[in-house]
Amino acid sequence: MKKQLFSALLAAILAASCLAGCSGEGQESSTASSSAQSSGAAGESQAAETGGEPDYSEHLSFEVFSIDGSEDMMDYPLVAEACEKFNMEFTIQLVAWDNWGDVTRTLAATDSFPEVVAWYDLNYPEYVEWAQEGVFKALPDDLSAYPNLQALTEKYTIFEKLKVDGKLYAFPKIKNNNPYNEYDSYMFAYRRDWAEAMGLDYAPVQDLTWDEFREFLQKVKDEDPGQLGDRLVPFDLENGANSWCGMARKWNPYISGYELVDGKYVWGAPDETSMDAILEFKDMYDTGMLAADSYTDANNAGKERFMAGRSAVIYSNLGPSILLDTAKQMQANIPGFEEEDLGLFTIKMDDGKYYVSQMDEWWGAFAFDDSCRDEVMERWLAVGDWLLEDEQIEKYAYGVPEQDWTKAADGTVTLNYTAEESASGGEKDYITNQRSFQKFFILEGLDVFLEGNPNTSSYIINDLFKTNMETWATNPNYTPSNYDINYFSATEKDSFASVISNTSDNFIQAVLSDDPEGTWNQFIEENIDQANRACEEINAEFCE
Amino acid sequence: MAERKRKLHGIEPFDIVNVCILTLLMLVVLIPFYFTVVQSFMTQQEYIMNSTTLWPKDPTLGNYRDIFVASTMLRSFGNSVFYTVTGVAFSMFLTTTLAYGLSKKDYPGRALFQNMVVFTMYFGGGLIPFFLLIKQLGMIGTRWSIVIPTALSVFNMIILRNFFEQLPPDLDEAATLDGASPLRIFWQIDLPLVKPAIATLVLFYAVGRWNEWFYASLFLGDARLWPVQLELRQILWSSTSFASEVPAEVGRPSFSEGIKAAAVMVTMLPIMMVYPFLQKYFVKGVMIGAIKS
Repeated sequence: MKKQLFSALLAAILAASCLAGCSGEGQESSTASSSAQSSGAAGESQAAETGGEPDYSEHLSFEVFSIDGSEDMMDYPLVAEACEKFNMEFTIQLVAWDNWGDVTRTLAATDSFPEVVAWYDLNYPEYVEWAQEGVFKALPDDLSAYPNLQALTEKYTIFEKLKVDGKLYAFPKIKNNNPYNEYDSYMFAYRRDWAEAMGLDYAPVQDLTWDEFREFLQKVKDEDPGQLGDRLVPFDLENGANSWCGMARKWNPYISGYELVDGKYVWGAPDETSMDAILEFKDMYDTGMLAADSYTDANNAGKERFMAGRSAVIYSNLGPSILLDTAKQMQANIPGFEEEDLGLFTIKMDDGKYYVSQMDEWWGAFAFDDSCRDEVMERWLAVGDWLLEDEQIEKYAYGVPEQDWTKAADGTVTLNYTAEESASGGEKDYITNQRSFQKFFILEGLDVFLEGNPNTSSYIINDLFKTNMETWATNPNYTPSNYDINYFSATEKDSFASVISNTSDNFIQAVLSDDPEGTWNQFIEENIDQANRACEEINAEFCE
Repeated sequence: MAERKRKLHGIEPFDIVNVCILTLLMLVVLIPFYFTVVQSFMTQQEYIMNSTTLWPKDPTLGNYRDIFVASTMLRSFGNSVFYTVTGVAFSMFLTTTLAYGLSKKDYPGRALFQNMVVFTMYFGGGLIPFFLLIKQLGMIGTRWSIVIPTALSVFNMIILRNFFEQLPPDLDEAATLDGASPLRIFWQIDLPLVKPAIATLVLFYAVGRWNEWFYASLFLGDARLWPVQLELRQILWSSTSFASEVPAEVGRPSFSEGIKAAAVMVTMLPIMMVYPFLQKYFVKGVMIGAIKS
């Protein structure tokens, strides 16, 4: 009897605490929501009132929530200069990357964000939900006081897509703001030195058809120019088998998504071109062109094999700075390897076109807590705008002017430090480390294309990257990003997302199977009904 | 006769099977551990060319250097030592005093307090209320947010309470007759008698404190206060910037597998060094505390 009473008491306490928790949360949300709307309006009016030179006479201190930064960040020359110029100081509330989601959600739910949030791994549905709940403060509608930021908003479509009820609650960080950023930078890099050893006079960017590419792989396997024996992998992909489905987009660009057919969206995977890709990969796998057992690869294991000298060709994300880094690592890993020993293949598919996708424009964002002061928001936006000026781009590319580098009248830049000095742990490692400050606002691409940048290589940037992009532009089969569909949320569509994300696993299973068609068709048949329901929701929203 | 046949020079067949199984289990643990040690001394080039080797051809300390090149590592080690030493001391204070009190049958309100404590084993408020509580107590961003809120483990307290309950009540009565105060009885008579349990709980708490990273990541925004586990996770992340969720433009990669292996060694060694000194108490403590006579 005593135990039963105790159990009943426990249950009652539990129920009461749940009810109390729920009601409290609701009140907080609605309060926060109204607060956000009012402060958004205040921010706007203040920005509109600002006429001439901005007034930075009031010293501001605030916190920034971020996965980047350290306590000596304030000593980096560029950060120190920004703090002095804008009469401010900030401290970093650091969060570990792999616990980012838990911490961010906890802070959002408890209204505990600091004023500025450098938001990594932004999840679109969560962003919309939090914006509507008033977790964040809206950015001003008029960004003309920040011309460099405004230019980004006009250049990239994502800014419009991130508006909630007509307001932007986060400023997305553009991934590759360079002159050649239209196409996704997944490319084929190859060992030119091996091609030469096999008697092939290939250009830095060699144009091949798919059949010629397969012949090259066969030649590599037959002749083994690196004398690697069983360890040779003629063709590798960034994450081994886990990247096969990504490359299958060269046959079916919509294999992991939705395709517009006759004015209606349909599931892309059942298209017969998926089977073409599967059979091609199966043939490559069965003939030993691909790394065996690479379906367990992660963290760029395939790319690491290429950089260590085991592969002849790699299909990987090779944006400008990554390409530079790849060449450097290969020079360090492979005895006698020169920068010019790295080349790129532009591969035409059977219809003579280069299959390319639109580059994802952004990753992460910065946002402002609903309690953020208007002046803090304005100051932070001003810093971001200032960092995008050419003068500042040179500073984070080279370091302190006159001290770390000089520029001659003809524009030639001379660095007064070695690569070791600027690397992490070196005397001037702030030159490398202060880049995290820039990455609060934009991810990459501002300094790589600086004219005469001695930190980059003309061969890598111009002869390889730029030539590759220009070759693709001559005859592309271009698949644009469909933000409308990607960010559209509905019951069946959201539920079907797990099937879409399992496409890669099913692709691998089909390639490895003795009956690829049967295996793939089973995957399609098992999920087609759910796909149709998801498509009905999408078509109701966008096609009717 | 049959018994003698089963024995071979004093060794029973069961012993042979037992040794074989235990040896197999030991190898299952030791082989990956050994290869982790080897991997921590390998270069990226050698690892990719031949990831399974008994010893690297050109051993390197580069992976350990990559970990310790950050000036923050030694500081975070210091923080972890602080959290471990302070946390264990505070936890042991709470655990021993509460367990001792609850072990006394004549303690007023014993059942109520015991139920209140046990309640927290089964029902938790969840992460958000817990965070709000710590926030309202003003502990966010302070070292005490790591030491105080999770100081008492009810499971450990129950183990120790069982220990105290096994002590003969005559001891306390004799000490009382000799004029000892309750505090003196606790400190000088009962506590020394539960040394095996104390040693066990110290190890439990120390391992828990040393491995702590989750609450630190939640409560400590100032990296100067981070424990070593959190610092290492950050280093590991920066070495695997090509991980699928993160675009490569965010950072540059190092030899992530080597750094991971070195990080495993760096974090395991301190606790591994303490373990042998406490092991003899450890087994005894768990066994005795688990059985109530």
